[in-house]
Amino acid sequence: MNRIEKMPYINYYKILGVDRNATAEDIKKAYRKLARKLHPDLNPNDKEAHRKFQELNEANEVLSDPEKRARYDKYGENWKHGEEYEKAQQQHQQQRGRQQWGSGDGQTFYTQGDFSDDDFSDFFHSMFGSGFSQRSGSTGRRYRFKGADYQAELHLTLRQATQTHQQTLSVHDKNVRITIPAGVADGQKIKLAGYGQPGAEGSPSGDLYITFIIEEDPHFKRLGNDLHTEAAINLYTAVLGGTVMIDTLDGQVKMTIKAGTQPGSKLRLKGKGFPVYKKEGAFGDLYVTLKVQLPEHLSDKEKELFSELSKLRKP
Amino acid sequence: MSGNRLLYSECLRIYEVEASFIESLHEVGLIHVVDQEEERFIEYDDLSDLEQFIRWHYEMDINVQGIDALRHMLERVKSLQSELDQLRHELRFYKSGFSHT
Repeated sequence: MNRIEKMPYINYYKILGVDRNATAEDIKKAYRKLARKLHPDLNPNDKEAHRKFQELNEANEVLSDPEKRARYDKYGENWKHGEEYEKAQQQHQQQRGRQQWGSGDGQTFYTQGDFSDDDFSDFFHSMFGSGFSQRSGSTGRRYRFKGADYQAELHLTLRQATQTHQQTLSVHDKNVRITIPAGVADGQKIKLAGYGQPGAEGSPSGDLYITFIIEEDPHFKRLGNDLHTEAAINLYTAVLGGTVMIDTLDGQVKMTIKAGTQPGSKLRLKGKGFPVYKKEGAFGDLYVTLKVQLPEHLSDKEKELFSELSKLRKP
Repeated sequence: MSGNRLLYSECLRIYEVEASFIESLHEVGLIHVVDQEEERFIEYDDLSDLEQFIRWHYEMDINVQGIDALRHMLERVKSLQSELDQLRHELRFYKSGFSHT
């Protein structure tokens, strides 16, 4: 079965919740009612609403345009045999071949706000071709003058986020060099004005929004500007006191363990935590939870000595 | 166009909107219309918001008062989402066995 055979028929009337005899006004009302519920502007980060709005938008694009609606009604479920099909299909292939969508290592890009040709289904493209990105089907109005904003995610390791550093992003075939300040938080978003889609006919470019995703680190957990880690000490150090080497983000430091340290005790290393965002020289603290390791596989001699010790502690 | 601003009259022409709509948005503080030397402008920085409001008004039939309320509610949703993300992050931290005290 080829790609065309797999392409499902889309019932635009069902999507809009109107019957086939619906008037243009009925369609407009149905669209507006559903748009108020499903529009991505009103459902931020809701992929399901976004998908449903794409369907709604497409249904409206067809049914609010008398010419498209007539063609859709004429071929209906037999659209695959429509006389325009082959021609439209060829046109679609040519236009899609010219479109490119960029992404770089560790980065994903997408646009939001309104829709382009890529948001229409294959079914739509097959029947009507391309070229509907700038104006709304229902009002014919232009909604975009400024270039579209781009959204990107940039993944950093926890350690990368501790250093102010530069990275080059590939944004739709264009390299953008950005400085990432130390201390950036997981989920934090920054705006790079003018780095979005170039505007047409001298209009301003859109903006680029970058959301930082900070990956989990196997040794350190971050809470705000503080870091938390664990360190193992042996029973003897816990009981008698001593020193232990602790890993920090900038190397090891020696810490003194007091005699009688309990398992789970927490030590604080001031200023050894995460750098504070855009506050040079300011750092959070590092909290170290001490895990006391009990000796295993005791020798006869050790058992004897522990036994003696236990007798000393008996009330 | 002029620098980083769009002439008011150009704005009306490009977006095919009524001046009363832009004026209403300006009056409730949703966008800023700048008057300078007998010319009126809209800052490029306001265009993304303006385009969004135009979509809401003409596509969804939401009036300016509704846009104002919606904008406020979306800001609130954004703030709550940010708080939710922060709490999720903290929950992950505590579930990993650490405590902060």
